[in-house]
This record gives sequence, structure tokens and C-alpha cells, in this order.
Amino acid sequence: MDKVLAKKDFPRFLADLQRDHQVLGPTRRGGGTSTYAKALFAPIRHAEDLEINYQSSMLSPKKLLFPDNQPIYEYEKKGGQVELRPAGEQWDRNVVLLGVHPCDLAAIACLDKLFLEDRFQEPTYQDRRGRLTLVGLTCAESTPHCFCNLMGAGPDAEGGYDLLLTDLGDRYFTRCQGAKGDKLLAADYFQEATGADQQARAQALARLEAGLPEALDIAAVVEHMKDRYSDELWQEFSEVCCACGACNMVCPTCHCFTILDRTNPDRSRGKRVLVWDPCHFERFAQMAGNASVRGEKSARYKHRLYDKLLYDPQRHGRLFCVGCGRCIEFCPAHIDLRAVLRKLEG
Amino acid sequence: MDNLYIPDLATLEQIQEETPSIRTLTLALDRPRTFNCQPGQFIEFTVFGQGEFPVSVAGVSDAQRGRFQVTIQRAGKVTKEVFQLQPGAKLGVRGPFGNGFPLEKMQGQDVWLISGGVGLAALWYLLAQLQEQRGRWGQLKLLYGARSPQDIIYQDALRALGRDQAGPQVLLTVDSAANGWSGRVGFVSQLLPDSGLDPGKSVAVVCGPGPMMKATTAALRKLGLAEERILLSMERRMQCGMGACGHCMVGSKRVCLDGPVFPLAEISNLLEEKF
Amino acid sequence: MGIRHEYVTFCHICPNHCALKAVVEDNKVLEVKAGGGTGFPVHMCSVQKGPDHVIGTINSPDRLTKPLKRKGERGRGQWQEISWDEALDTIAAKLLQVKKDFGPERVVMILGEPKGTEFAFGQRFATAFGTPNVVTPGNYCGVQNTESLRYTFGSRYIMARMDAPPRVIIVWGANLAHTGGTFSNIGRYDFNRALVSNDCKVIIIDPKNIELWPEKGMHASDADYWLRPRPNSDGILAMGLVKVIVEEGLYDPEYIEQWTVGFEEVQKEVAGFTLEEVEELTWVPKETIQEVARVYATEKPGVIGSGNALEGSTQAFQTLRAICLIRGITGNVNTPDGGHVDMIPPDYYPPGRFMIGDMKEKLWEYPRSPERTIGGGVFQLSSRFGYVPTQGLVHALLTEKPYLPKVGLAFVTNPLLTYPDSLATEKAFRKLEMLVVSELFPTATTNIADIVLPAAFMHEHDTVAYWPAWFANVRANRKLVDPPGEAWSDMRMINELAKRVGLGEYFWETEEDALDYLVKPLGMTWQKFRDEVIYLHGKSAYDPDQVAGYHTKSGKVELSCAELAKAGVDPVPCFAKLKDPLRGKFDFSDDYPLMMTNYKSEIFMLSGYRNLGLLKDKSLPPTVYMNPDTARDYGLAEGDWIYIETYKGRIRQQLALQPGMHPKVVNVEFGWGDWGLADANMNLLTDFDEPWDYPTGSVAIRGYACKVYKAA
Repeated sequence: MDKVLAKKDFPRFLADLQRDHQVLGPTRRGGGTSTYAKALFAPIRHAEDLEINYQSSMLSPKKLLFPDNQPIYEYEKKGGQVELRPAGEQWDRNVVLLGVHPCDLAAIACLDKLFLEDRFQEPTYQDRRGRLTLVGLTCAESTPHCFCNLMGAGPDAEGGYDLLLTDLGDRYFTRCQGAKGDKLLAADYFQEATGADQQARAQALARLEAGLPEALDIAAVVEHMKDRYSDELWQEFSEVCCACGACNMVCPTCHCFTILDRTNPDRSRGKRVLVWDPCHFERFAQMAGNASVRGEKSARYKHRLYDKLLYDPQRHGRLFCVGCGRCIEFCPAHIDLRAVLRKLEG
Repeated sequence: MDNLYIPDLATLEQIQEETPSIRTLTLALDRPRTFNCQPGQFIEFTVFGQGEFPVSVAGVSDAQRGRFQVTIQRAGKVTKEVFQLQPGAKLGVRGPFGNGFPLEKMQGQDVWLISGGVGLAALWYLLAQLQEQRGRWGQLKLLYGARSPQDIIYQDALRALGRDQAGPQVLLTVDSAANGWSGRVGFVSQLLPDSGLDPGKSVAVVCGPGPMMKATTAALRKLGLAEERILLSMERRMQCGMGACGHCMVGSKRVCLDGPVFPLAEISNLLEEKF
Repeated sequence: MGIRHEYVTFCHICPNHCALKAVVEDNKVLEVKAGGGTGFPVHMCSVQKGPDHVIGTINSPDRLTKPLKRKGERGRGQWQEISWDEALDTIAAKLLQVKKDFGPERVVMILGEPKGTEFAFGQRFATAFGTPNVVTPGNYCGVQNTESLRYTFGSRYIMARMDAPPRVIIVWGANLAHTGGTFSNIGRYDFNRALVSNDCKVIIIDPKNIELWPEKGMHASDADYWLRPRPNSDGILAMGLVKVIVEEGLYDPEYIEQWTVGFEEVQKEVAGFTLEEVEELTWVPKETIQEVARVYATEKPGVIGSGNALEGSTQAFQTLRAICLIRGITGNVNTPDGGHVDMIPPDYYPPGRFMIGDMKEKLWEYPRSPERTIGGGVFQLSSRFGYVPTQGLVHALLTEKPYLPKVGLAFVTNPLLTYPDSLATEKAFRKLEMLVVSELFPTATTNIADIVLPAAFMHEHDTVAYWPAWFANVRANRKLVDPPGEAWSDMRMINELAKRVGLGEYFWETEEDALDYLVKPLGMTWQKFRDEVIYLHGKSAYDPDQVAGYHTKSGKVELSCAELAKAGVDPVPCFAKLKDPLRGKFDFSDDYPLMMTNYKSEIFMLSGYRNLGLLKDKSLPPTVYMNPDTARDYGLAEGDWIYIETYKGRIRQQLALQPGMHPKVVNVEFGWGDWGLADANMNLLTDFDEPWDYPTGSVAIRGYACKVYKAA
């Protein structure tokens, strides 16, 4: 079912969402630092808070659904006994995540595979995901780092949303999937989409596609990777890598973590927290006795790409790279994954 | 639903000093639950305030009451704290996790247990099960190498096994020894050529330090044992135990979920680790 | 098409000085990125301001390209292009006339944060010419940290010993995600590793919920401890920590006995106050102070990265001394298990030696004595460190005491934005008979100059990079492209000016001669250093088996410092005086119920580079941070433009809210004022006048009571 929402009615739509939900969306708030003009997903109180035409955010919605530095439990030692208290921070309301781009929608679908459909359930993720309504938004323009089209994750979203908006100038084309979306679309300010609206949407997406990188045969890339594990090209790609882990942290599908103890000085009480942990750090793959399985930075660089493009698809049936481009934008050494993929394609 | 990151409380009931740097602890879960553990599985062991680490279950003395043993070597910061513990201490236990040994597939076969150092602990519960259901397997043999006579763990039990006519044959060796050691000197892999292993009907189960595993798999291959018949118990720093945290990945395998027990055939071609 | 070169160079925008790779073709810089794989240190900030400012400055259309002479009234912005000959002859004539009629001290060198060799050359010129008046921002940048280290441990080169992972890191008034601005030189990537280690406790002391790892969205509130002291109460907090360590006996008595002097004086000082007082003054709960003291004293190695934010107060020196006491009594410096170690820099001509070393006779002729120096009798230590405090110059110009300076020679510095009290600074500078400013871009300060000299950027000429000298390394910054138009390097300007005032013998014919001289002690030519060596790090004095010793007078850690006492400075930080920055004109009143402090943008360097598109696009407008509850109490909302007012004046910035920030703190952004944002200039809120930090000449640049209200 496709509808359109006039922009003048957007505040009403927002107000309706706010009645039953906490609404989170892109804002212009220093991108998680102080004055860095990058979008940040944060609570939306008024329509003006929304930076709806944002290009990209440094922190993906992963930060909201699978938070870094997440308390798991607190403990206290008391007279030979130990008391444990679960310390997870649960959402007390249902949440709408508004304005999520197709790449990030695809990334949430990846995390769903891992955290909900594998052999275990990640408790915080499961809880938050159950309370979440996703209102996606196709991009108005691409950034120089984007390559969602190469990974089949954009510029249109095939799924993974409840509603999907496309900006058509004075109105949003609104596509819907599933019961949550249907319910929202029942409001009277949603009008039936006409053939002209459909056409305008297709044109908008075609314009967007034209600005994205030239096509690439990702299946061939993956096939070639199988034979090129020991190739010198990994050394070459990772030579300038600083092993800083920035790509891991900004990646919307990187999910590796460690669990730390935050204790008082005599360690009689404290909490355990789940902290995102970059696989680019040498210590990441250490064993008892401190030998690292992947001591060379090229081995770590390679492992991350194999995991996303080969191992995860084997396990979960989808690529775990969505082409959001954050790893390119925030790599201090300007390592461009697209160049790596092109080299592997040939 | 249960939060799988939160441990169950357990009480340290007994401490057995194996060597100056290795101890066996007997733990009992405070809220008794069936401790459903297959040989080869591991638990995540918490010393509150210090941290958590994975350790193989070395024995289950009372599954119904949740009473079991782990053998721990002092290696890092947290295991060091284990050596400060006194009976009665409260600890945390998550798990068991991992796949365990494929007992069905081993049925009817000769079983060679080959271990080095504290790696014996990972095979100890398996050995107990093998003996308990003695009729299911062919010949049993335990090959064990330690750095020196002082580093041999489970000494009393090994001695008892050696005396037990129905028990497995036990072959001990040490890397180096001072006077007074009348046994073999050398690496455990060097025992293999003369161990009488029949590649047609044997399964080898291997656990020990990296170099020992490599030398042993090489020796077994030389004897003509097929890679499907070589089972390795891998040691990695599994942090979550559930396949999510990424720390224990070796190539495409998550040691905590797909392992820690792997037939060599499954991992010899792993892109990363070469055996 | 030309040949494409990839050169290794170094960012100079913060003290980390990351190695960069620059791709250059046909005299154009095509790309600049972090120098991973070069083998030289890289700790790239998350906003990557370094690469952007290099490429942005080189390609900027705003650059000054010709010497300019003022036409008409000062500040009107009317200029006449002149030749270098005319510019230098005009300046030289004025210098010689002033020297003859009034004495050389009436000429003032005005230097900013050093970028290349301009700082060392400016100092050398002053020595040769005979003026003791070299104004630098040393009074609130670097000196309190380095000199407190030197008086306590006998060396300025006390680094974090990151070769062994520390078990506790205190980050105090610094922001490791964005700059290498701590005086233990903890690199960002090392810090990130500590943030995901179970073996390191991280303690952040900052009124703001600073970001620790932006790519992770990790903030101070995610650390093991986050202390939010009242701005400028840090010295009191430090003494509180010392008190806990001393009174709970959390030190090694043998070490104290054998390797420190003055422990009893410290004991006596900390017995004179209570932790309840500390809590009341600093706003940090007593229990937190106790816990942090216990953690730092018992977990080793322990590192304290104290930052620049601690240096702008009227008790800056003793605040940093108090922090050195914490490092000292816990045995964390130059010990086998300590977190800090002494570095021995490579043997080149560092600025100190360069400005004086071979010119002793000039110093005898024109001593840098208190009587000849602006503020010489007021500041006990600053002239020993080779500078006049910035507000000292403003004060001298306005009061004409001890005399009225006549000529100012400013090199790549913008006092009209960066000195406290911008209005007073402008009024003072307008009293100079001649103000010469060498700059990359037009600034508020060039605007009131008489002669403006177009400066080459440090990547447009070969130069030795050493700053900050106390990080014990030396780097070759090679020329990537030609400077625009007729821009000259500062070295060349000063060499040529020296010739015209008869001081050619102390300078060099060519820039390369000068660079050869600077690296000569390394036993190589500049060319060899530039092409083959590129970077040299100092050597660690660390000894795993024993205390490596201290280069103080006593050979021990000087908890109480006799040398300071001799200079008239308290040998042990005095608790009662540490309260001064919280009192009098700084304190709360009915009119001013909130407390202003400030932060530096992570996008720019100090006041600079704010015109560059690449950086400008990354930055929000001038942004002031407050706690959401406080904002609500004052009827203010996120995104509002608000006025922040102190007794000195008011500025306008855009409000951003930060949960967790101390409700009484208003954190304004430093550095704005040029490029159409004059009303956002933080230094309209600050005062240049006394009281000052008399040892080092620091002056309060934060910690003023203020009020906030919505801008119409």
C-alpha cells in the first residue's frame, strides 16, 4: 500500500507518533562530539529538531539498539555473599526511529539475523527491537563515500522498515510493510498515491542511483576472495592502516564486543558492562598467554572483510556490508573499501 | 527471558593443588539446577571484581546438584586471583557452552587421548565418560606430556589409572627431567609412532598448547590417520560464549559455538590457522 | 602531467603531530591523509582536522600574498601593496630609530603557538636586537605543566610510559579524542586501547561530558569515574587527593624516605584543611575524591594526563604543582612500576639554546633582567622561561608602565581574539606606533596593523618542527608546494630583517643554512635529516630495575621545592591561596548565578583556520553547552541563540544541551571572532587585569560568574 503525506501535514504525523512513542531521529548536534556538524540520532520534540535532509551520521542506529558501554549487571560482595542485580537499561516506551536511510535499515536487518535468529538472543537488542517502529527515508542525495548500490542495500530499501518515506518536494511518498505500518497509514492525512507519485518516486531514486558508483559484481568479488586469502594484496591494502578501529566503531553491522568490570577501588562492588571492541586491535584475538591469533594488521584487516563478505553470508544468508561508506569517511588513512572490492572483482 | 550474560552464583567447595601453578576447583551452583554438560564443553568463570574467563569442565561429580570441577592454570590477571580464593568463596558460572565431543561418532573406535600441560583437563571429563561406558569403545589410551615431572596434573588419579587393569593405557612423558625421573623424556608427539595406533579404527582427541597441537597433528597424519578422525579441542578467549562477541573466531568458525571441539578436517582448511 | 610524489610530513595542529602522507603533483597538493605504515606516530583525531587544514590552507583563496601597508586610518581595512624591500626597509628604519631614541626594549616580539621555526627565530631576533620583551601565550599554554614537572622532577620531558599498559589513566582538563594536549603525551590510539581494556581504570576530570571516543559515541560519563569540578578549583581537588593518599598512608614510605624531599611539609599543608571543605569548594563528593585517590595510589602504572585547561587561572602554577605532588608521592615518575618516565630529547638546537646559546655577549649587553622587562618585577618566574605574559603587554601599553612599548612585531598570532579582554587588547595595541603582523590570512589583528607580511604556511617551505619541545622529538616538515604569491617563510623574513638592522652576523644567508645549523648537533645536514631520517624521538630514561633518578637540585622528587622558595614562590602549594580563583570578582553573585568556562573546538586550531571551507563545513556555529535542567530553568531550549554575560561584557552563541554536565556550568566555545562573528568572541567575557598567577603570569580565562539569556 503506497500513500503520500503532504509536508504541511508532517507535524501532525510527528505529533501522532509522539503520542505513543519516544521519537528518535537525525538532529544536528555536534555528531556525538562538541561542534562536529554531523547528524546524530537523538530525541525529537519538535519538527524543527529534525535534520531530515541529513547526509549521513557518524554513529549508526546500532548505537541505539545495541548500545556501547551497556551495563549488564551489578554485583556487591557482602559478608561472604555476592548479590547480583541485572542492570540493563530498558526502554520504558515504544520507540520510533525516524529518517533511517536504506543502508542503515539493511544493517538493522543484519543485526536481526545475528542477535535474534542465530542460536541465541541478545537480550537488550531483543527487547529494544520489539519496541521499535522503523520509519525509513530514502536519501535525498548520496555522499562521496556511498556505495549502497554495490551491496544491494540501496538506494531503495527492499524491506526492513515499517514505513519508508521518499521526499517528493512538497510531499513524502510513503511505502508501508506490515501491521505496524498499516496502522500508521490509517491516519487521514495520508492520501492514496497516484501514478504520478509512483513515477516521481521512481525518478527520484533513479537520480540518486546515477550519482552512486558504477556497478560491481559482488558475487564475483566474494568468489575471488575464496582463492585469494593468501594473496599479497591484503598486505598492500592494509599497509597504511593505523589499526585504530574507527571503521569497526562506525560500521553499522560490526557487533564485536568485550565485557569489562567497572569496580570500586577494593573491587567489592561494581558492574559489568558490554563495550564495543574493535577487531582491528591486536589484543582482540589474544589467547591465554597473550599470543594474538592475528598479530599482523593485514590479518586483522582481512579477517574483518572475510567476516562481512564471506563468513556472515554463509551463516546468515546476507552480506554484512551495506555500503554506508562510514568506514571510508572516517578512515584516517583513506582506505577505500570500494577500491578493494574493484580490485577483487577483476 | 534469561539474560545469558548474567552468571549463576556458585560456591567453591574444594581446592586441589595439582602443581604450584595449577589448581582443580570443585564448585557447586547455589541454586541447584541440572548441570547438563557434555564432555568437551566449557563454562565462563567469573571472579567477581576481577573478570571472567572460559575454562573446560574437567569433571561433573553431581549433575543433579550442579557440582563440577574445573582445572585452572595461573596465566593472567584473573587466573592469578583464583589462587587467592578460599573454600566458601562465591563465584559466577555461565554455561556450559560449546559443542562437546561427538561421542556417537566415536562409538566402536579405539580412542587415543593426547594432551599436553593443562590441556589434559579438557579431556579429563571425556575420559571419565569413556570409562563409565567402557563397552562402547575399543582400546583406550592416554598419552600425556608435561614440561617436567612437577608439572604433571592429576598425579594420583593417573597413578590409579595405571594400576587399573581395565583402565586405559597411560603413557607419560616430560620435556625435561632432573634425576629421579625414570619415565620417558621427550614431546608427547614423539610417543605416537610406537603407540600402536590403527588408523583404520581409531579416533585421536588432542588438546594442549599450540606447538604441541601442531606437532601432534603432524605425527598423526604421518601415521595415516584421516583428518576426520583427529579431534582437536581449541582454546581461544571466548568472551560471551554465545557466538556474538567475535573474540574466538578462527577463520569462519566461532570456537564457542562451532567448537571448541573440531575434527581436523573441518579446520585444516580454515583460511587462517594452518595445521 | 607532472610526476606524482607521496611525501611524509607532520601535522602541526596539535601536539600529537601525526605523521601525514601528502600526495603532490605539479605544485598542487592532491590528498593528505594519516601516515599509517610510515613507522612514525599517528594518533589521528576523529574529525581529521589535520589533513583538511593542510590542504585547505594551501588552496585557500583567502591567503595574504603580498606585503601590505596601511592606507588611511587604522582598522579601516584599506591597504596598499608594497614590495618586500619597502616593507623591510620601513620596519628596519623604525626599529633602529626606536632603539636609538628609547632603547631596544621598546620593541616587542609578539609570538603565538609555535608552528615551525618562527618562534625560535623570533626569540633569537629579540636577543640579538636587545629586547627582553618577547610576548608568548606561555602564560596560559604549556608552561605551568612543564615547569611544575621541572621543579618537581627535574625535567620537562616527563612522558606517559605507554610501553607498559597503564592500570589507571587520569585525564584532567584535556581531550584526547581531539588533541595531544596532555602533558604526558598519551596518544589517542593508546587511550582508545585503554578504553576497551579490563586492566585500566579511566578517570576523567572535566566539567564537560567530553567525548572519549567519538566513533563509539563514548563520553566521560562512560568512564570508570567522571569528576566535574567547579572551573578553576582543580588545585583544591588535587590537594584533596594528596590529602587522602597521605593520610590513608597509600604511599611507599621507603620510597618517600629515599627519593623525596618535603613530605613533612606536604603532610602539614594537607592537615590544614578537611575533605568536606574540598567537597564544598570543588563540587566533587568527598567519597569520590577518596575512591579516586585510592585507585590512583594503588593501581600502577598510573598516568595523569594534565591538560591545557588547567593553565588559565590565577593559581595555575600551584594547581599543576599539586598534580605533580600526586604523581610524586605515589612513586609514578621514573620508577620501575611508575606510569611516567623522563625522556631525553634528540640533540638538536631546541628553541632555548637557539635563542641564547651562542649569543651570550648579546645578553650581557642587553640582559633579560626584571628591570628591563615588562612585568619583570611582578612575575617571579616567567622571565626565566623567556616570555612576557600576554596581558602584561596589554597592561604596559595601557598604563605605560614600566614604559610605553613602541613597535610590535607579531608572527602568526591573533591577540585581538586570543588574549583575555579583547576590547582592552585592541585599545592597547592601537597605542603602538608601529604594528607589524606576519600572517596567513586577514585577522582581527592584521586589521589594525600598519604593515602586514604574507607568511608561507609551514608546508610551503622546509622547516624543522619541534613543538612542543617537551615531547622530546624533532621532525622534518618538508616543503610540499610553493607559497602563494610573494609569501615568505618567517625564517626568511627574520633573516632579511636582521641584515637590515645590522644583525646579519647572527642570522643566515639562506633558509637551508639556518636549517643546517639547527640540526647540526645531530651530526647531519638538513637535507639528510629531511630525506633520510625525517623524525627522531627522544630516548626513554626508564630503568626496569631501579629508580632512574631525578635532575632536581636535590636529586630527589621535590615535594617541597627550595628553588621556588628562593624565587619567592610557595615551595608547597598553599591550600588557602588555591581558593583565590573562586573568589572576589570571579565568584557568584545575585546578578551572575552561573559559572562560565570554555572549551576549544575540535575542528579548528585555537582561533585559526576558521575560514577554510573543509573545516568550516564540519563545524557547528559558535556553540555554548549547558545542562538541560538549567536551560529549562532559564527558559532556554536547544538551538536558541543566547547571550552569555559576565561583568566584562556579553557574547552570543548557540545553545546545545548536555545531560550530566554540572548544572551551574556554562561552557562557551573559544576562538570565534573573525569572519563576521565578532560577537561570539569568548574573550569579551574575560579580564586582563589583576589578580594574576604571579609565578608564571597566567590569567583567568575561565571561571567567571555569568548569566545567560535569550538573544532577541
